[in-house]
Amino acid sequence: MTSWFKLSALSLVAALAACGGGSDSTPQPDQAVSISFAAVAGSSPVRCGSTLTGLGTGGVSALLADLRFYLTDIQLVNDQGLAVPVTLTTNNWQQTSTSGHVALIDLEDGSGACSTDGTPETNAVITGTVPAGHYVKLKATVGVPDKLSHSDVMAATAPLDIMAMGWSWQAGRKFMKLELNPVGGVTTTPASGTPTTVSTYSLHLASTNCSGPGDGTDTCAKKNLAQFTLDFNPSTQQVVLDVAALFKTTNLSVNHNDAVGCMSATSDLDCPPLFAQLGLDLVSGGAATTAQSVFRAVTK
Amino acid sequence: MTSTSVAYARLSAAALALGTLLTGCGGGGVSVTDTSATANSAWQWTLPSYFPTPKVPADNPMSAEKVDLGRHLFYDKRLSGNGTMACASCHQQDKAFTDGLAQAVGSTGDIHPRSAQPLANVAYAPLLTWANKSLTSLEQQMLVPLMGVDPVEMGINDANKAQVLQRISDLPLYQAKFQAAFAQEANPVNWVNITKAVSSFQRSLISANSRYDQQLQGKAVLTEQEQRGQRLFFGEKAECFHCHGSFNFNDQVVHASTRVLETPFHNTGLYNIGGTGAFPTPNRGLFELTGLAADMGKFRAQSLRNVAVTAPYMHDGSIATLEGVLDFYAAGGRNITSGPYAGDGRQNPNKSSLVAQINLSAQDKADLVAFLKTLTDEEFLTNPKLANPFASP
Repeated sequence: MTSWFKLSALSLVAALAACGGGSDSTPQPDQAVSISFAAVAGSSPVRCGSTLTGLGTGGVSALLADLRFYLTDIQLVNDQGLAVPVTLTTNNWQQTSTSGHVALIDLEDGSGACSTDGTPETNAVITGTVPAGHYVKLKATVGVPDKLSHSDVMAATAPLDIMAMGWSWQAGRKFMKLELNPVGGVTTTPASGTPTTVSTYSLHLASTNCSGPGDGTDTCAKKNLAQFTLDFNPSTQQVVLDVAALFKTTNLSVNHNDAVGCMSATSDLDCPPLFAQLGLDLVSGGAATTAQSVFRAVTK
Repeated sequence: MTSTSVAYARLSAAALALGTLLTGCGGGGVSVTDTSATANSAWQWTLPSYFPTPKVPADNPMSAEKVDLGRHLFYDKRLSGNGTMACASCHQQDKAFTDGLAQAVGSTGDIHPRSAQPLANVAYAPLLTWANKSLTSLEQQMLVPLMGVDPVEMGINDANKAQVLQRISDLPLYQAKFQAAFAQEANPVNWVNITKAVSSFQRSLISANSRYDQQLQGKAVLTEQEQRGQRLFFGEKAECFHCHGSFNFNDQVVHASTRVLETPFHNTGLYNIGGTGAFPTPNRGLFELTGLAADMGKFRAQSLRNVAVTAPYMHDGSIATLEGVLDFYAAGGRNITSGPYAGDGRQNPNKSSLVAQINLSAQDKADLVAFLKTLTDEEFLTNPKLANPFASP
C-alpha cells in the first residue's frame, strides 16, 4: 500500500512537469506571447483605402470605413488540451482589472473612407504572457466584460475611452464596429415616402436589451458575445478577420429596416445573416448552432 | 369636555399648526435640504408637500454652483461638434423644454426618429428616453445626444472631443464656474464634470406651480369646466389616471424613498400595420430591444405637466393637438385607413387593456382639454433662473 502511494505521487509529479512543458523540477518562467491580427477579404488584404470587390449577394465593391473590435476572455490551449488565460500586458490597447480584461484591435488608420470616425492610431496585436508550454489553439470572445462595458466612456481608461466604440443608448460599448461604403450606397425603401440612400453600411455588434442600474452591474438579456476557437500557432500564424465571409449572405446595397446595416437591434432584419457568420443567434443573443466563419488562422 | 371633543380640539390644533407650517413655507410648499452636498453649498429643493424628495446619484450631489454651471452648458452651442447646437436647441424653456417639432433635428441635419421629450421634473424619471431600460441616470443619458451616431445629435466624436473641451476651457467664465462647482478638483474642466453639471441643472427643472398645483395648495380655484375635466381625468370613465396618475402625471417615478420601482411601458394602439400588431420601423418601442411580440409598440407614458405647450404628441409626434389626443384615446386607439401604415390600432393585439373605447362627448373632451391646460406652469416656462444665461436682456 505504501509503495503504491509513493509510486502514484511520483507519477503525479511527472505528469505535472509534462503539463508545464518542462522536464526538470524548477518552474519554467512564463513565456511572452503575441497574437497578430489582420483583415482580409478572401485572400486580399483589407485596409482603409483598399477597394473590396465582389462582396455579398450583390457582388458589390466597397471601401472599408471602419474596422475595430474588442476581445476578451483570450486564452491559449496547449497540446494537453489545457486552456490558460493570456495575461495581457497593460498598455493603451489592453487593460486588466478585477472586472476582467479587454483588448482593442484597431485595423483602421483614419485615412480614406475611414476618416469619418477613424483615428491614425492602430493596433493589430495582443501582447502578454502565458505559462511556458506548447500552444495549439486560440480561444477568444469578441466583446467586453459587463462591468467594463457599462462604464462612462468619458471617464474610462484606455482602451475603453474611444467614443466611437461607445454604445451610449445601452450604456455600454460596441464590441465590433465594421463599416463599409459600397459603390452606389445603401438604399432603404420605407413603407411610405421615397427611398433614401446613404453611403455607409454599418455593423455595430454589442449587447442589447440591457437594464440598469448603470453602476457597472447592468445586465443585458442579449449578450451577443461572439466566441471563437481556432487551431493556432502563435509563432507562425496570425488571425484574420475575413470581411468577405462576414458579409457573404448580405446585400450591402440594401437596408431592410431599422438602422442602416445592423446595429444589433433584435428587430433588425439585416442582423441575422451577419450574426450567423459570427456564430451568434440574434434572437437569444447566445451562440448559434452553426460555427462562426469570420475568423481564421493563416500563416503570418 | 367629552373625550370626543378633546380629540377634536387636538385635531384642530394640529390642523392649525399644520396650516401655520404650510403658510410659513410659502403656501403649501416644503423645503428639503439635500445634505448630501458637502463640497458646495447645500441644495434646497423647493417642493410642494405632495412632491417627494428627488433621488440624486451619490457621486453627483446637487449644489447651486453645479446647477449654475450646468445651466450655462445646457444653453451653450459650443458643446456640439460643429458649434451649431446646444441642449436647449431641442429643449426650449417656453415649450417646457421640448422643441415644437414632431421629430427632433440633430446638429448635422439628421432627423431623429422620435420627438424631443419635455424635461420638467425629469429628476423623477427612473428611465430616460422613450423605450429603454438601460438609461437610468441623466449623466448616462447625456452621452446619447452628445456622442450618438444614429442619429447624430450634438455630434461629439473622438476627432473633436478635445477641441470642444478646449472651447469650453478657454473661457474665463467657465474656468471660474468649474472651479466653483468642483472646488476640490485640480483640473475640473472635463467631460465627466460637464455631464454632472448639466444633469444637476436638469434636476433643478421642477415644475410644481401650475394652476392645478395652486388649487391643491388652496391658492387658486379651477373653473367649473376645469373641475369637470379633473373629475373625468381621475375617474373610471376616462381612466387617464392609470398611466398619468402620479404627482408628475405619469407612471414611472423614482424618488429618494422609492421602495419598489415600477417601470411600466404601454402600447396604446397608435398603429396596427396590416392588422399584424406592427408599429412602423424604426419606432417599435421595447420590441426593438427584447424582440418579444408583446413588447411591440410599448413606450413610456409621458408626464402631462405642461402638456398644452409640448405639441405635437406621442413618441413620433404623430398627433398634432391635444384635441387629437383626446379623440385618439376616446376611440381606444387609431384606425389608419390608407397608406403604408394602414391598420386599425384599436385592434392592436398588444394594446394595453387600459386603453379601451370610452364614450366621451364633445363636452367631455373639451372639459378634459381644459383640465390638461391647468397643468401649464407659467412660472416654470418663464423663470429667469432656468432661462438662457447668454441671452441679451
